[in-house]
Amino acid sequence: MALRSKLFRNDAKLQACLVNDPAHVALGAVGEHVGKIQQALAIVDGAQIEANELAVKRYGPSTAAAVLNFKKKRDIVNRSYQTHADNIVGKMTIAALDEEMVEHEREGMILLQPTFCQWGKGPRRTEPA
Amino acid sequence: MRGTTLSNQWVDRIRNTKQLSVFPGPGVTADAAWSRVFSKALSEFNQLSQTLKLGVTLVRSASPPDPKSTGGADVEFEVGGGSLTFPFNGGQIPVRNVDANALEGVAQPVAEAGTGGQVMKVFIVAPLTPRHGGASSREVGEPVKLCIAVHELFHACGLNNADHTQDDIMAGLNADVRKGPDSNDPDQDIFVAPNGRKMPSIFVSSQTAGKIQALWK
Repeated sequence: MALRSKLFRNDAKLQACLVNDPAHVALGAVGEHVGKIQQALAIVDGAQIEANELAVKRYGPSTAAAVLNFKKKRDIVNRSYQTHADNIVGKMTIAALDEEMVEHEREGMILLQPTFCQWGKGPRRTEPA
Repeated sequence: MRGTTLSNQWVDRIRNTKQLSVFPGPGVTADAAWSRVFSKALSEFNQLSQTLKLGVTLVRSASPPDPKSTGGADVEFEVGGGSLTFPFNGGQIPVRNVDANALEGVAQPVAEAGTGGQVMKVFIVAPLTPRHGGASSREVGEPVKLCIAVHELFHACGLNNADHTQDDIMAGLNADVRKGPDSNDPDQDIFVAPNGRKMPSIFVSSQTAGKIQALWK
């Protein structure tokens, strides 16, 4: 079993996440694999992740919220030990994200990570307006 | 996926033309100020491109990205607020919410499948009525709107969040927007990069110019 989407398939950390429980991706993680998860969430779920997290590819609170939202909508819950979705990307979540990414890539276009800029001294938004 | 740079390269068939066509969305053409700013932004960008040898110029397009195919303008520049989607290539492209009254902007690149993430369209949304400090404050003047527009057009050329700077028009999160000596005059408003540089006139650092040159060589 391996990830098939173009976005995920060459990423060793995400491939490990698919088959290895300790390789799950959670709050505080940083790196290219986190950036790919953020990108996939934006593409398949319209997730809006805080610009600072996108810029450094950090699994911060808004990324965690997007993961939780994705899992809730699809009822991704490991019922062997939990009753509610959590905000961690584990085996089931990465598999579901990958499956949806494959579908999107088939359609001939891929949404890349958007840029988001805020200026001035006004309040900073971290959630959709 | 994108080599050593985090920037987004355009697909070869567009990159080879050294040109991007930019369509002003209906929100832009319906707003006199944004309409002026859009035209000026293209002109400013092209002037900078010539001076700095960026390798890409922008042309105004009369038609939007094609709702049914991959044709039409390469870039759509729209102003508004809230959740916007753009019909393109048989689907709808969602763009992150922009607060119509905030000083913010979004550029959503769309890559062509099978190209390793090369861009084939970019959809930009800028706020319709950006204000100094929330809905009840004064709307910023055209000089600041120009800075927003040029900033987003640089994103359209391929720069992403990681390419934000502290010292030029690509200042992305920590730049300030201030009123001029006559605080009631929007035309005196300025955009101030974190290092203190005031714009306009638009300043592009050698670092930013180098990134664009690399993307369009």
